[in-house]
Amino acid sequence: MDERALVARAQQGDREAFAQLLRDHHLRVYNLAAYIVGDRTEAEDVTQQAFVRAWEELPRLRDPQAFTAWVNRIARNLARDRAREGGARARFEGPQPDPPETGNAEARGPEESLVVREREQDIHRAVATLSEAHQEVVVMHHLEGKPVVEIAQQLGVPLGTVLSRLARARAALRRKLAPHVEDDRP
Amino acid sequence: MRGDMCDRIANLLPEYEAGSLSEGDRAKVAAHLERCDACRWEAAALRRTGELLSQTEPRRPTHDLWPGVAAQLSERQTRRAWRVPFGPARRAWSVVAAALMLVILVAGLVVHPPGCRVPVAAPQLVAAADAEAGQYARWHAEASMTGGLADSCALALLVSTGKPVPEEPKTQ
Repeated sequence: MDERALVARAQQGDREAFAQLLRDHHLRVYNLAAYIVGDRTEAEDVTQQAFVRAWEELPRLRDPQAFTAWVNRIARNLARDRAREGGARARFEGPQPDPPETGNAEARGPEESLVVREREQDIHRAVATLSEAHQEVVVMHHLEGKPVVEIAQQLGVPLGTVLSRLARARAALRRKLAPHVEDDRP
Repeated sequence: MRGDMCDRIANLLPEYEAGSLSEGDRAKVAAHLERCDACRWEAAALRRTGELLSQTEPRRPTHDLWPGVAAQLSERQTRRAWRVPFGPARRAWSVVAAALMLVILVAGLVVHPPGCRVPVAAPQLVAAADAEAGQYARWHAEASMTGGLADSCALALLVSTGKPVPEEPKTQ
């Protein structure tokens, strides 16, 4: 079932459809919230609150295609409120209870896994320093793997805006991640 | 060696790598990269940044978030069902409550019209007709008028019979 149909069914009160929407969108929402609140438990809580709020407000969502941008906005607003309550923006760190694995994890030795994990932590910390608009396109394009055309549709912005945001975000990240991306200078 | 041209190209490189440059600028950057090692190196670093990001896994919550969300939705639904609603529904409830109070008031006036200061009691008690029983019934009836819940039995009798309690016999 496509997303429009899921949103339409959820708007009629279908919880199964809404559960599917949560499964489809929660990773992005969680990551965006985590970049703002800087704490994984808080980010989980904010993500849940965002979907509870989304369920309650869903009948008022006019354009089902706007669901992605809309739920992102709800989550970011809640995360900002939570971050304000929690004081200064904390750094996104701490052990990963459910470590993400990239590539062929089983084939890597423990040392290589550690290197990958540290590099990923550096990357997430760097993304957390971007503006929220830049975080959004980085998460959608690089972490979710969505094509730029789809991102433009879902966010309701021109394709050029998505490309421009991605370009600026990558330029900022290239400087922050210099040790990971620079070869020896010519 | 980097010059002014390299600085201008460096500003265009992110858009060049993202594929969002105009055809003219794109050709200009491509031509410069052909002959400039430093800018080629910079372009490669930008490209690797994109590749690195694409290899990065998103952070994942430590548990399934749906059960918690579903529980909150159910809890809110239950709470809402018990709450007096706002808006038109709340106004409707107010009208019903006012009408009910009016009915009770009218019933009270019919059973005990203004000016009738003498309470009523059950015919059985009236039939007893001796001074002690009459006074007892009168006290109960009066108590039911001032605090019906305190003497609900007498109030029920009062409503069912509507007969006056005999005057307390005058003592010498």
